[in-house]
Amino acid sequence: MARLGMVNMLASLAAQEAERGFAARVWENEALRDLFLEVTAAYDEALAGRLSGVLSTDSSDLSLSALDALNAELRIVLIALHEAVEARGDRPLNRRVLELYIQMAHARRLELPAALGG
Amino acid sequence: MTAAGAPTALCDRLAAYLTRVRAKETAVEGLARISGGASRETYRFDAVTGGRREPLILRRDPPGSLIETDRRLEFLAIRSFEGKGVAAPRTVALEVEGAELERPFFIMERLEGATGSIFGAEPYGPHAGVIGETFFSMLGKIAGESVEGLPINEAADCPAPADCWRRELDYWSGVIDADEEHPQPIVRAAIRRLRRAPPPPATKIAVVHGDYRSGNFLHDGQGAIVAVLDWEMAHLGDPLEDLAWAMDPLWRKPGDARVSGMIGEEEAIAIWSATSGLEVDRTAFEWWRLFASVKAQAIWISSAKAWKEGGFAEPILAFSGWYTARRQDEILAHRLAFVGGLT
Repeated sequence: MARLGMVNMLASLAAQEAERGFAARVWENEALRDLFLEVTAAYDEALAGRLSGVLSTDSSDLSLSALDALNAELRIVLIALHEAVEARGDRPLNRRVLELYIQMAHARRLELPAALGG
Repeated sequence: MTAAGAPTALCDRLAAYLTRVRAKETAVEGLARISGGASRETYRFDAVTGGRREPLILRRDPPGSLIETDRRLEFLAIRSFEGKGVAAPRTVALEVEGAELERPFFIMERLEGATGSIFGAEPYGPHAGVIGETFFSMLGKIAGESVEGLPINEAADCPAPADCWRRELDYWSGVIDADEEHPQPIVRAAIRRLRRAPPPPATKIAVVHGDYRSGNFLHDGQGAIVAVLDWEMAHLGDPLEDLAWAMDPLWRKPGDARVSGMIGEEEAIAIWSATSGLEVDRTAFEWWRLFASVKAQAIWISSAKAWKEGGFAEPILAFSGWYTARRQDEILAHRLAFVGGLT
């Protein structure tokens, strides 16, 4: 019974992912591209090259796998950008990245079925 | 096969083992596999020796595991707290070579009780307050115990007080390096933050249970905790590690200010401090709170990988690598904002 309950819960999560997962991925990818576009000029050549490079990646494929592949590229560059922001002590941009993390996590939030108190 | 998929061969071998070590004919009844712990096979059974029935638990390494040190550590950690008021089950036997059961295992007393649903709204009903007081009092006793002479000292490395944080962070960030399948910028930022601003040295070296939380103890439905379980990540280290882990927001319903739906955070800290005799350095505690979420996320990342590599067979791994990983990211993002002065 416990295993069946777990499978039912996974079905509930899958339903939420089907309903909101695509939109969450498209939103996050766009948010990251917007951020990179805005800050590229402010950072050194190597990082700017990575930022502009990922900005030129094709984003027209809306399949889940393509969205995730693009998201992986963008997230790797985001990690590099945040490292550079921290090294430079760029407090306004650090604040913006931390706020973006909250938004990213919220966009992908899953809810537990009400039966579990979710 | 016996009930719930325990092989008859295992039943016979277990009976042969107990008969040999007790030098008295022992029967094994009701052997059944149950869920328990993250990486061990766990079975419940009754041993019947000379008409005396003894409810027991068998914990055996999975096939291919050669980590006998971990098995021994878990056993010795439990043994360290027998009879010390923290509801550690009585240990019965340890066989690091496997003996009749082929793989390393140990046997301990089986205690009956209920677990609270980690994510439920009211996992402990009207007894939440008294269970919470006992829960943090027991953790305080574990933290306050002098490690000198404890059985766990036979097998556990003892870090220098200034190195506790680094050892744990190196280990769990290494797990993320090894198992991450999709880039995780939030936990990466948390790891960098932890390295940039390490905590002060531990005020004492204590036994750290390693997974002391809601869902890892049994209660009797009347407000008493009857067993503290899942000692498999036990080690020696900074006792604030356990306190922070127990208080991670993951173990409570989102929006519930109570620790694990039991008692308030400040009350929990006060009880722990009074029982352990240890002051809580708030700077150090905040470090360990962020670390707790990093460690948890490492476990969920590993769960997602194990689910895929295991042929999508274990639903609990999917749940851990999916819902809990997403929830942990939210917790991490908010805690990063907090330590970064945003909230």
